[in-house]
Amino acid sequence: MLRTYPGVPGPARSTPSDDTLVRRAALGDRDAFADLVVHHGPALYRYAIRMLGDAAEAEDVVQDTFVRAWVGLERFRGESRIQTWLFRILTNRVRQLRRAAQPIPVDDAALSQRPATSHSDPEQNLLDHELLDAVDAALARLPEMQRAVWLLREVEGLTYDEIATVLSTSRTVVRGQLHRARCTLEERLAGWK
Amino acid sequence: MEMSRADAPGSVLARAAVALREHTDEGWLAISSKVLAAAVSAFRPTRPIRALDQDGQTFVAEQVVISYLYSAISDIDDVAPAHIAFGVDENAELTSVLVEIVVLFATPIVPAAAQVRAAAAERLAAILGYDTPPYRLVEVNVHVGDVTDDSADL
Repeated sequence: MLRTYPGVPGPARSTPSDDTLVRRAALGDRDAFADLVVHHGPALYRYAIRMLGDAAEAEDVVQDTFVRAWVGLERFRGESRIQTWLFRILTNRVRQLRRAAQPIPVDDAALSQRPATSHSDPEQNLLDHELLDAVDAALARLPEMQRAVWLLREVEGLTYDEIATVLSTSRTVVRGQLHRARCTLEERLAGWK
Repeated sequence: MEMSRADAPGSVLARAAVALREHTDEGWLAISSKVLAAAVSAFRPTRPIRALDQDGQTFVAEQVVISYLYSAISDIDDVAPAHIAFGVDENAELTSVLVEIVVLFATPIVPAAAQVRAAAAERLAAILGYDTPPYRLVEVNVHVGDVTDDSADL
């Protein structure tokens, strides 16, 4: 039972923070880890499929990311946010997969196939569907680094420093790549207004 | 300050970023259960800890002992375990236990630590056979590492 104390704020949230979930999961709490998967899985998958352009490969790298996270969580010391740590694991797996793959000609049409999405509002869904088609096609034609930086900054909300950590590069490079990505995407989406 | 151009209201990129962020790929919905199941069934490296057993040798995985202690300490009001570490000697026998805890703001710390120590010792005795002859005592140290005013973070 929880006690209350004069002058002390009562329970403020009904859900635990990421730090709390990480702490519990590191001690073997599977329910806490399930919450982390629910919180971060959609973003990791969203990023993976747009970096790889292949649903099966995206599934593999996201699954492997969470396996590695579960096994290594005890060693996670909280120097970064769990989101950054997960994206870093994922990015390493994406790079390993790319290195292992035979070089093949890039098929823009295949890369730009937008993954199926869900939305509760059919009208909004249609608008988003069309916009996402256009954005995904534009993203697929960006160089890999620019695509990664744009997704991590604009969609996932990571800071420049966090992106630099995830991509093993510098803040300056992140800033430059993001600028180029924004300019290119704006050009390619100029007719979409 | 790191300005995000996608934050500019009304821009195509802003709408695109929001649309991407707010949608959940159906591919993820299809695999999320499988991903979770695969993750939590993965083996975590763990050390064996020797239990007292007069009929033979019994070893318990460190992760199993941690799980039992986690459960016992989580049952205590206004306290949560943050980290549990064991000292183990060359014979795989437990030599010490360190339990780091988080407490709810204004919880009397010394009594809470005493409760944690007692709960941990009792659970260890039950798991590792220390409550039957030959009895064995293990030092349980408690470190209050954090305090929170939000019960959701216990």
